[in-house]
Amino acid sequence: MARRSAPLLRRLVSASSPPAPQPLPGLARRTVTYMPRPGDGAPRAVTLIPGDGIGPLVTGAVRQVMEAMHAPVYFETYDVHGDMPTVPPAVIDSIRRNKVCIKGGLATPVGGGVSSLNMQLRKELDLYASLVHCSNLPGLPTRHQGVDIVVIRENTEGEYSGLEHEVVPGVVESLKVITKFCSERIAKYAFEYAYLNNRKKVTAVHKANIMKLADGLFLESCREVASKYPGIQYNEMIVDNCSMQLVSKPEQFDVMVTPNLYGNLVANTAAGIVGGTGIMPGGNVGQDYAVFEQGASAGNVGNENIVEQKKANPVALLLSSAMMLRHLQFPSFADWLETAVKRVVAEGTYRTKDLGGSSTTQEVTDAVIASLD
Amino acid sequence: MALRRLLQGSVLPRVAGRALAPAVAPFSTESGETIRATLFPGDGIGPEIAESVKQVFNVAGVPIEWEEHYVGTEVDPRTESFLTWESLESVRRNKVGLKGPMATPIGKGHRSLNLTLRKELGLYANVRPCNSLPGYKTRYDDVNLVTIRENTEGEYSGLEHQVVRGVVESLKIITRQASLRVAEYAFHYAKANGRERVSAIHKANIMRKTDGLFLKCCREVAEKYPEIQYEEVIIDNCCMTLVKNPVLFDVLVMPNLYGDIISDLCAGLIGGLGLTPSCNIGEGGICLAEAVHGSAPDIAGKNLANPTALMLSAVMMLRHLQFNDKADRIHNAILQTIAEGKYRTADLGGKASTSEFTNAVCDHI
Repeated sequence: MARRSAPLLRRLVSASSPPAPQPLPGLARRTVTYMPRPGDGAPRAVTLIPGDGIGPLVTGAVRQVMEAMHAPVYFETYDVHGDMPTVPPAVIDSIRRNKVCIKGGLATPVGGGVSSLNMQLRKELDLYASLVHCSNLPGLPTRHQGVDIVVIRENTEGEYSGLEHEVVPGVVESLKVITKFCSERIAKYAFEYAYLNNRKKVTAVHKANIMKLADGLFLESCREVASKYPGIQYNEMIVDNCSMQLVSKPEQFDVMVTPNLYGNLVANTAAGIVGGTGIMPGGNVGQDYAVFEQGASAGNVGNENIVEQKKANPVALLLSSAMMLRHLQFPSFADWLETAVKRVVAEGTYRTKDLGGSSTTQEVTDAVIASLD
Repeated sequence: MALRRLLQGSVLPRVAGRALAPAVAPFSTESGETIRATLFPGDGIGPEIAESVKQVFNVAGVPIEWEEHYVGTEVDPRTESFLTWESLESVRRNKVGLKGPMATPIGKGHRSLNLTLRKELGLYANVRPCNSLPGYKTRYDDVNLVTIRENTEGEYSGLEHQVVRGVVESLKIITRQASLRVAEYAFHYAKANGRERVSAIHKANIMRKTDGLFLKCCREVAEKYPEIQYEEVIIDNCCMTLVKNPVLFDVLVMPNLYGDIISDLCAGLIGGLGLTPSCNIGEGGICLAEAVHGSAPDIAGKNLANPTALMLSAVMMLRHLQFNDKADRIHNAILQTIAEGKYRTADLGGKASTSEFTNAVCDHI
């Protein structure tokens, strides 16, 4: 994509666009002005991995919307599929160069010899924090209201170390590794996130009554970091009690920090109670790189029906791309996109099957583009 | 006397070598003789709710004679815990038991009560049927599923060590024997209770060998029960589906950790631990039904406790003993009482006392 001057093209586009739709209450655009530095408008390169299953559909939606907004990003697309033995080095190099990536889901074969490419990517780029923001979208009725939870999950070690072996035939061992280094940095990230986003409470999720040493070490690190943030409430909750509370009283949670496996379960549960995989944004971040994808890992590759009928829900990845725009320091574009997506979801005319409607991906994407004002 | 009891203990048939002990209890239900069952009333609200259960069973005419055992005040060196050897022998002999909530004493030098029961009685499967109670509205209606959790190994083997400072390893063990055992029980349960589908929950895309072995065992058992549908669901999808649409699940069979989390999640769907029955199956056909909620010391002795969980667990015990018609009558009585809404205990939003609730249930039988 050739480099263009964003402001000029925006003027051209806005001159010919239809009359702006009425803003819904609570979705007003940001009124605080910010002062960019000269040259901030130069388009940034972002690696795009379409992925498997519904991945190409939803990343296609992101691409279309970015073009319609004339956002100062351009995509370098790389094809990666779940059945490749490793992530191609060209892709890793591209992400190292661009520092930011947006991707669709990569299918992981069950029980096969190939290790998960998602995990490989995370370990290779040391993306140690996975973040899912689960909150009620206005206008979308769910069983639970008033939910606003951010689940921050350690992404590199724990039960996903991949260290397994057969001791004797019929007996298999798997190692769960917890280190102070990784526990500390994820706890620091969680508290820093809470501090920067004006969050009041951080809950550590664990099973230290059974796994005393492993989860005990995780909790120790969390407590140490908590003592440095006296303004933020900190509490601990056992993971089975936590899942029970999530389905009965999710309003009590704010930010949750968890080791790898519990984070998977908690994030998927929390995403499920507010609407599911189709609408929750999320991403993985490390010291140097950030990879954005759908928040919940359940069904992020979809099934053949959805792929055939092209009815995947692009809302999740669109909201993640808004997070990406904020990460790239284009806050106005991010707000613009988020407002448009939330407006489409609230109106309810164009909803995919998982939200109770019957639209296709393309219809939702067009609705979002039309809703950009 | 103690020596004879010890010898008796070693002569009792141990079926540890077999992969499966039939869960069908070898009791004759036509003869009308009473069956002895062990009762652990437990601590806190335990004794009151145990009384409720005894009252309901009396009214329903269930031919059970209870042997009550209490948690001791001293550590018994033969069992290394506060449960005496006699209590455990009683369960082994009677093969059925009902356990109220037990508060684990703090301190060292003894095993936790649950761990003692599990190890000594070889309790390998934890079964929790989660059914929405008609008349008690939660955010989820039509929940009708059963979670069966492997209870002996997996992530809870307790094998951890510090490799170097700041690095800890914890072992997750999956064995063919234990996985086959719990899978056999799951399919047997499904068949015996008219269930159509068994779903194995796993994370074999990441933990390929361990959960892979678990899945292999489940598949082997599934082949022996062609009339029951079998599917495998990754735990992420399972959690998501459970909170969005729990009606899609029937029987879930899982290794230890996932089972712990999912069974508590399902308990949350129907209204919490105060309403959830649970039953542990052990080697040799032992069935120990238990109430999984806490002992609630703050309301102990005040006639405020909700006996539903213990009553429903006792119903499960009756079904295991194949007293199906009595079990159905008591179960319906409980459901009717809660549905009517006139007598509900405080935790369900009502104002009735334990005895009022129990009397209402007895009236409905």
